[in-house]
Amino acid sequence: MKKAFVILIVVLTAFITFKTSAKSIDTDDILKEQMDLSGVDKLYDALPEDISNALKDFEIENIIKDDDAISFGKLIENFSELFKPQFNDAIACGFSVLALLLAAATFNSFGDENKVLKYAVTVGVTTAAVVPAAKLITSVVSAVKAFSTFMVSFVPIYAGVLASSGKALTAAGYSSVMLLAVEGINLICAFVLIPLSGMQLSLGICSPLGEGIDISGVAAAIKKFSMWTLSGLTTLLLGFLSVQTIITGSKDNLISKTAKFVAGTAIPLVGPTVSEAMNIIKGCLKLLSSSVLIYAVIAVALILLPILIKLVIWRVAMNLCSFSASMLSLDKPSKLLKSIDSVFAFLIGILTLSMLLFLISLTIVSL
Amino acid sequence: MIIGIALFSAVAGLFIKQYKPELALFVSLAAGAVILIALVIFVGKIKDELKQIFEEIGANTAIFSSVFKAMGICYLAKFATDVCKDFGQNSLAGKIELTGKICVALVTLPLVREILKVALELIG
Repeated sequence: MKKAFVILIVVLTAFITFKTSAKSIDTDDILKEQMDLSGVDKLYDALPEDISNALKDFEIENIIKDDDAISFGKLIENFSELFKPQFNDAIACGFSVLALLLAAATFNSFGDENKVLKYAVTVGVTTAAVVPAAKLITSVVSAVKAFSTFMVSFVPIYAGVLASSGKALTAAGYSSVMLLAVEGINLICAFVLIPLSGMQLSLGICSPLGEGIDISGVAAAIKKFSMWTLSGLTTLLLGFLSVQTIITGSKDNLISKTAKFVAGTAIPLVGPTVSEAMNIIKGCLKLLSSSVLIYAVIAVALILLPILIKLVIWRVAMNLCSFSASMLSLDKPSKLLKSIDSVFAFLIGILTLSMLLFLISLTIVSL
Repeated sequence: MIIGIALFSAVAGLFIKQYKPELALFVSLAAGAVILIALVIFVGKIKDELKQIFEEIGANTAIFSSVFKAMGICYLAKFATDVCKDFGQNSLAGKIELTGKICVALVTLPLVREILKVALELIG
């Protein structure tokens, strides 16, 4: 009887201990707790409505909570669905411009070099190409604003996750540099670059209407100034972030290893267990950090890529039309289409630099 | 048919010119008018076809209509100018040219307004 009682006690103790230890290393619980504390759910609210809806369509609005939600095939399929409507406007505009150019060329081929008709065709081509181009500039402004709004929410959350995973100094440097960069880019885009591109386009569209006005020099100067400003700022910020991360990364590593060593040696009896538990928590935080990263990259891709693709398609359409105009000896429409193309190239530059800044900074701090 | 009319009127004009030179001009004028009417019918068909294509691709048909109207005005003005020159009325021909230019400016005015509106929006 006594023996049976002892065995029962041992079995119960083992069961309770096992259950307790199993609970203590349940990574899902740790991950869930860390997610709630880091406030990653707020990222979804920081996105514009159309992007949130797109994420819902992608079925990845809960990417942080569900590891199996990411499927490469599904992503490609959804992205291609998202990009299909971007082709329509550019194709319609391209065809309109080509039809007008062909009509003008047909008229010219009868041997009647008519200046008045050339003017009418130039006005027609300008209207066909410029009105959608102006709308595109507005879309770029909205995309840049949405990007900066998302970044303002994302940077503190990601910095929090980085800090909890033992990279406190890196997180502090990252958040300050990135918040400064995001605000800087937003301000420069809103008050300098977008108005400049608007000016460039408006000068470009007004010049074919008057005889002897050539603004190609002004347009080139605006483009050069804007691209130098943006690339200079991006290089400066990324360089600063890289140097800072190299220094702070080593310090963080040292602090983390010291903490583990202290926990492992200074705490009596359970020291090594605490040290191992720290490793598990760190692993969970790394998983959380990667999930947040992937979520942010997809969200930024959804914000910036559609408009980027649209701009690329528009550039192709404008270049084709410009070549056609040159071939048909219609110089003014050709110049106009080239000036619209240069505005699109400039806008592509702004968006690409914003994306690069985001991706490279993430790569720097996550390494 | 148009070529037939043109050739017939040319030959008839040559004959009439020998006996009544003042009538020869009227013959060429009448032939020109008939040819122009025939052309308008053909061009109308082309315009309808192109308009349909524009509508199908979702392009702005107002632009196309304005440019086509401008083309029509140019052709008509040229025809009228040539006739006036045939009659030796160079001054009148110049006035017709000017009228044609003003008409083209009027037809393209809504487009110019739209362009300027966009330009102002971009600057503002």
